[in-house]
Amino acid sequence: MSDTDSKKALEAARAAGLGRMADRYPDDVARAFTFAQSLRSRMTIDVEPADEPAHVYRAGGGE
Amino acid sequence: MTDFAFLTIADAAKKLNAKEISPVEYAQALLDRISAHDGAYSSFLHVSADMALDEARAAESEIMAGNWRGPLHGVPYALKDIVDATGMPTTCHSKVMQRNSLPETDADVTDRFKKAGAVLLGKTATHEFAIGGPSFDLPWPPARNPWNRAHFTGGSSSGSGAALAAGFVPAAIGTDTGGSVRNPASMCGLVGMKATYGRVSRRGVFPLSFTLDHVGPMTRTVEDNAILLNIIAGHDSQDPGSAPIDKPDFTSGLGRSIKGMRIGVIRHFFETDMQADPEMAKGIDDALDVLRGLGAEVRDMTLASLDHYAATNRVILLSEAYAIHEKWFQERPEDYGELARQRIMGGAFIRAADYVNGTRVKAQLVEAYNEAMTDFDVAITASSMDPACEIEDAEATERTYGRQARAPFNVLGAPALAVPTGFSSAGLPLSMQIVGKPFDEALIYQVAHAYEQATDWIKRRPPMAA
Repeated sequence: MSDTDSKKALEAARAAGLGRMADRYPDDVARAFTFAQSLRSRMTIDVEPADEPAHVYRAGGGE
Repeated sequence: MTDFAFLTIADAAKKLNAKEISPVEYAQALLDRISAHDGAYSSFLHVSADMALDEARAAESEIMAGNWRGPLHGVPYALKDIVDATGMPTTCHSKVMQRNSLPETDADVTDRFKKAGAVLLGKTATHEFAIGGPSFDLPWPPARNPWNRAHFTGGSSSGSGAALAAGFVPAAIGTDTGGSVRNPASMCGLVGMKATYGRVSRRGVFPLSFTLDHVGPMTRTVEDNAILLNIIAGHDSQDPGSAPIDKPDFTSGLGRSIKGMRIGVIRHFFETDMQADPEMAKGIDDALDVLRGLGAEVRDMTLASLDHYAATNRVILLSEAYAIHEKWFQERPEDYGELARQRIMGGAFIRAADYVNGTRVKAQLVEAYNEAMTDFDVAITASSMDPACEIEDAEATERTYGRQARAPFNVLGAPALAVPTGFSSAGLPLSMQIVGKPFDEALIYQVAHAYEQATDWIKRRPPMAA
């Protein structure tokens, strides 16, 4: 991870109220930030405006 | 003389009901075994011998008076230590929870065990908050695999897996949000069911992800697993995710033919989306041959890519988990172990739109899966891609952590059962998953039981049991 990306991760953590975390565990913050970014690119989002989220009973039988 | 250590629930029930064995001697034998051997496996965080023997004595009195409650009456069991039971702490294997007071009420699943007359021996190790592990920086060590104690148990229901494989209990409860019942089942040579979302109440279980969490039975045989699901399944009006649907007798299909059964193989999960270890893949192919030999019609089927499912699972899981842990993350991050801290913290950086879109993608995936399954009765795929790695090899545990095909069925809410398929050349368990349509667990058990009866994997014992 570049210094710029690390800085971005720590800024994001502090903005989320994780200042103590950023101070004590900067490497963990950087790692978690990078992983979260990768998830966004791995999840293919192809939804129409009216497509609803899955609801609790979506598995079937209990709507 | 009865071998209490590896008695099945089904056999124990017959012997207890016939008064051939006593609940007290059964509980005492397993408590003695835990005392003698668990120092090497760390499967239990808490053993409550006095409480267990009190429950065993109560069961014995009732059975001797002719009031046998059913197949779990007098049978010992263990709970993953994120499940509440009065009289025992719920630590979630974390310093964060170490000093919490005792729970005032039982989880729904614990209550159902108690009503069935079962005997709680203790609470088992988990990955911290069911996500961070295996870890060596927590107040308790991680559980170790009875098939080779240098190896990982899988997780996060790690202690439940170790305790069953070691012959400490015939029944244990795990929880499963991205595969945490089925992973230790796969790595410890066990049967683990993640039933349909809503089938088993989550009330009284520390949450990881509200929309993906499942509570599930872990056992050494398919029949025992179905017996256990019969006990723990059922609607709970106090769990908003609980499905108001009748439960069948999950043992009803055991012993019935699977001739003509349409079995799909989700081969791309373990051949192209990920490449399973050759021994793991061969175990699945050999199992498919067995099922063909029993008269099943086996053919490949296709779903969305494994990575698409995995990313959807993690976006939802981490967003919900972080919401639960945010306050503690802000105020006392040092009380978490490194792995839980790293994994849960990802949720702080997922945008609200991505979380909502994750749940919309989930709806699409559910619809596509239900459509694909109209041509099949059940489907088979890999569980873990690899046999258990060495537990102290942090690089290997991290590398293999995500090499699995279990998370899709948390996203789908569909039932999925991990079943042993043999052993690697190193003597470590291999496994597969049998998955099905929502609320069709009985059919999965029917197929799994037919396979199990046609093989002899369940007769093997870990070396420590010799």
